[in-house]
Order: sequence, then C-alpha cells, then structure tokens
Amino acid sequence: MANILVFAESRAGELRKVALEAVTGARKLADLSGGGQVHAVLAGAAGIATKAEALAQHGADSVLVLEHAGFAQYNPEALAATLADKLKSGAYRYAVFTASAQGRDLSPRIAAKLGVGLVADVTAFSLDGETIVAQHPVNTGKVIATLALTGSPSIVSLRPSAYQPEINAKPLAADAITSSVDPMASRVKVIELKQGNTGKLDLGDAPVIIAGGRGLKGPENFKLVEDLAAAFGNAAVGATRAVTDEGWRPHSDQIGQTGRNVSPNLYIAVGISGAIQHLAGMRTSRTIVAINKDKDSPIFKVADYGIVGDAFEIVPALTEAVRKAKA
Amino acid sequence: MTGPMVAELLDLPCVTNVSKLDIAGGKGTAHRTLEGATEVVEFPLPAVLTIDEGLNKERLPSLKGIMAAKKKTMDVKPAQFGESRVTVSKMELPPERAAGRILGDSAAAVPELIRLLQTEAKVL
Repeated sequence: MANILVFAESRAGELRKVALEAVTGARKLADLSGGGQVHAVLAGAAGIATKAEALAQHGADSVLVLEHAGFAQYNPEALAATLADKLKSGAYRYAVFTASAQGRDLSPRIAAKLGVGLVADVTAFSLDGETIVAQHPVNTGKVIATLALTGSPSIVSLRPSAYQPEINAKPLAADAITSSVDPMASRVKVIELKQGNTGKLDLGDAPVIIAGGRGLKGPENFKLVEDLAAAFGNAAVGATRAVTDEGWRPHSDQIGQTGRNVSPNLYIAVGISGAIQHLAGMRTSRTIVAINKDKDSPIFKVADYGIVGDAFEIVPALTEAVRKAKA
Repeated sequence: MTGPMVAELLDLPCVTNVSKLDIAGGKGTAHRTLEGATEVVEFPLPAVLTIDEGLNKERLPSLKGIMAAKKKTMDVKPAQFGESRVTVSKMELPPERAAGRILGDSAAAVPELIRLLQTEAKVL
C-alpha cells in the first residue's frame, strides 16, 4: 500500500493527454503496491477545477487543485516548491510525472530540492518490494536499461504514450490547495504561449500519423502526405529530422530521438529510409506501414507492411483507396 | 535533467529546451520548445539554460586558437560520488519487431494493403 502524488499536466487551461497517461500509470503503480491512494495535482488559472473530473475518471482518488492566476502559464518555480512541500510531508511513497517538456523540466527540480532519486523517460515499471524497477531506453533506444530506484519518495517520469489512458473511475474528490510560494513572484515567467499546428491534431494525440522523409524531394510534395492524412480524418503529419533541418516542415513536426516520441495505432512512413534516430521515436507504434523506393532501407525492418516503390505513384492511390474505405 | 537540478542546487532561475535566446539589459528572453507549441519566457541573470539542438551554429576554431588550446593546462579532479539512489540492474537489447511483409512494388499493392489494414491490423 503506497500513496502516490501525480502531476497532471495542462496547457492553456486544457488537460493534456499525457496527464491522463500519468494518472493511468500512477493508478497501476498504486494497484501494484497493494492499493494505495492516487492524488493528482492540477494547476491552472481560475476554472481549471472543471478538469478534475477527467482525472477521477482515470483513477485519481483525489484531485488537489491549485487555482491561481499565477498558474495560467507553466510556472516551474512555484510548482516545484508546492509539489516538493507536498512530498516532504511523507504522505507519498512515489511521485509520477510525464517525460514531456513540462515534466522533464519540473521533476528534476523537485528531485534536487528533496535530494531523492529520479528515473526519467520510463517506458515500463514494476515493483520489487517497495523498489521501483523501471525500464528506460538509452542510446536512442538501441538498449533498454532496467534501473532500480530506492529511497522515498521515488520519482519517475513516464515517456509519453508508454501508458495509454485507461478509464478506472473513482468518485470525484477535489480539494483546493494553495501554492507554497507566491506564484506571481517567480523569477522565470512565461510571457506568451505560441500554439503551433492550430486546429490540427497534435502528434501525441493522433491515432494515425503520416510521416514524410527526404524521399519526398521537396516541401511542396508534403501535399501528398497531407492529402493522405485528410483522407484518414484522424491523422497528424510528421517528418524526419532531415526534413525539418531543411526547413520543409516546422521543427515541431519532427519525430525521432531529438524530436517527438510517438506511438499511434497506425504509422505510415513515406519516403523515409529509417535512420536509427527516427526509429527511436516511432518503433513502438502499433502498426507500421512503409512506402519507400529502396528495398534495403532499415524502415522495412520495423514495418509490418511495406511497399517498395515510387511514393509519388503509390501515395495518391492509397489516399484514394482510404477515402473510399472511409466513405 | 542535469540543468534544472544544477539550477535548483545553486538556487538560480532555469529555462530548459531553449530554441531561441536574446539577452539584453541584464535580462534574458528565451523561446522554449514544447510539444506542438512554443513558450516565450523572461528570466533574470545569472541563469541556467539547457538548449535545444540547432540554437547556435558551432564556430570553427582558427589555427591560432588550436595552437593556443594546446598550451592550456588541464585541471583534473577526481569525481566525487554521493550516495546513489538509482542502480542499473540490467542492460538489454529491445525486442525485435517481427519482420514485416513486402506487399509489392507499385500502386497495384494498395488494395492488398487496405485489406490487411482492415482485416488483420484492424486500424482502418
């Protein structure tokens, strides 16, 4: 029986999918320990409390709501101080974060404040007694390290998409909490949030991803990929590092070791040879389809289905066929 | 995670994932890359920053610089380890994905792909 504090990430007043993943992961950890309590911390401006219900739905026994204008944007200093104080109380054996831009920034601050251990980017965990045994990919996913994390509280950050959200409804119990320090007095201040991909599905949320590589030969040819994504209707468009380095697509579309890690139900790689750095960001996708000219390219080693041929001929045909199948 | 830990231990402001940086008048403004968005962040100096790839282009050293670097003395100190809370118990290769099937070499393979996505993979 161990209680767990989990940070439920939000942005611009909306929960992120990784918040539900983190709560799902925390619930699993609590159940592994023989059934502890999961307390989720939700921070935001006035009105964020309305998002607590979704956290209870995914297994949070209690939602600690930190509502203040100073949390309208990500406020790492005030969050780290507040979460560290909660953990210092000794009420929690484990703390769970996501290895996202927020969680990667926030969790090490708290580990340093408390002088406790942290394992980042966890893809799977189990318990050995009270010790967390966590898997963590190293060397661009070429090697999986298994790490044992001792001390209390033990902190982990879960890799996005490693634990998909699962419904495990608890009655909603929300409690307002206050910040340990004045949230308006933080030295680091977010003055603006520029949302990218407005109106489009985020790569982390899309059940289908169509990704394009250098084989598309130029930015104008991404229209093929976008048309295929539009035919699916629930797809996001991604790209390789080669493509974002060329400036054909924004850096935020990059999938791979130095970009996003994704795990959609269906990943269609178009004109992508499959460098190890790219594979590191998508190899956990459920079904992988590769369309590429070179039959020896490494992408075909991870693909479930491959077509060796000219993307400029195959992709429009596939778009048409998907449109018909969806009609 | 080293950056935020160092900042915390030194009690300095910290901005991670910096993709654009301006420093003026003792104050810094940085763009911080998020998933599908960017935060514009202001912070006082001194501060700890961790940078995203591509923030700067590396400068090529001049011949004079290379020669001067050879004369620099190195101050080598033994590493001091604290008590470790994380121990590596195993390193292993990730499970291989079963080799896939090549369905064809032209658009003629598309109907078969659609059939497999519908019936076998059940993703369409």
